[in-house]
Amino acid sequence: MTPWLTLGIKAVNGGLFVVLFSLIAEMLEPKRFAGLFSAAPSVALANLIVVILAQGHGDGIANTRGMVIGALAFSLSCLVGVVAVRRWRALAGSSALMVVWLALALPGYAVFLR
Amino acid sequence: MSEPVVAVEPGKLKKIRGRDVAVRFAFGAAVSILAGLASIIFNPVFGGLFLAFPAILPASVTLIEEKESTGKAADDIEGATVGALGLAVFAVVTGAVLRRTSAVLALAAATAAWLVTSVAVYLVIESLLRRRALSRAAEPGRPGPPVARQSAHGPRPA
Repeated sequence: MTPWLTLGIKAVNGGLFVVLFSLIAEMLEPKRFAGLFSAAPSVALANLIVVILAQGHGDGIANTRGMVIGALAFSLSCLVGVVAVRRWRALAGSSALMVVWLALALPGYAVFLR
Repeated sequence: MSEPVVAVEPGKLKKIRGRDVAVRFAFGAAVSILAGLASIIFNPVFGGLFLAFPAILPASVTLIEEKESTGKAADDIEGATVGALGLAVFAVVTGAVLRRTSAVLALAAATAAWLVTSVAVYLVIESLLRRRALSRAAEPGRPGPPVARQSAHGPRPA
């Protein structure tokens, strides 16, 4: 399987898993509980299935090492995101959240995983 | 009356627009491509960072703000804070179990670990918040029972 075909399968798989988890979230109340599913392992499951099948356990394990740092950065950036969304509304606040994620995840990778 | 701690409302699925589903599909596909490219160009550990990239969040909170309010969108991110902690547990469990057994078992165990961790932490935090709200309401001089937080912003105009 070529890397580009693998990438295409990951993309379709990722889209489907995200839609599946978002449909579950849509049914849940209150929004604070539904929010758990905004951080569901949808993209992770979609990608890890393809990575493990196409490249083996080694690459999957390597992916999960990076994912630990990414997930911790996700949680910390959400703390900033809550304040940012209340102050600047959803689009600007959640964009700020992504910037904070990058500011935490990239140095986190450089310090702990490189 | 205060909100329930957890409620399932399947009827809400009927209100989902095709455009919202398409937006979420596109975001999921885009993040997967980003993670895949990062693995190809750099290495799988670096690519793994993007398996926990919050790129889907702007799409979902913007839709929540459109349909409900900014306060509800912020509530969703509060939940995501806890869900992301569960995501770290998911990654640790996948890595550990994958070393010993099959991928199916590893991913099933990790998904269960994400769900159990996230829901347990959510329930603990929610019960602490509700207990604090009740004791504040019982203080002399404080009017009325606790109510759900209101946003300064209402839903966006259509």
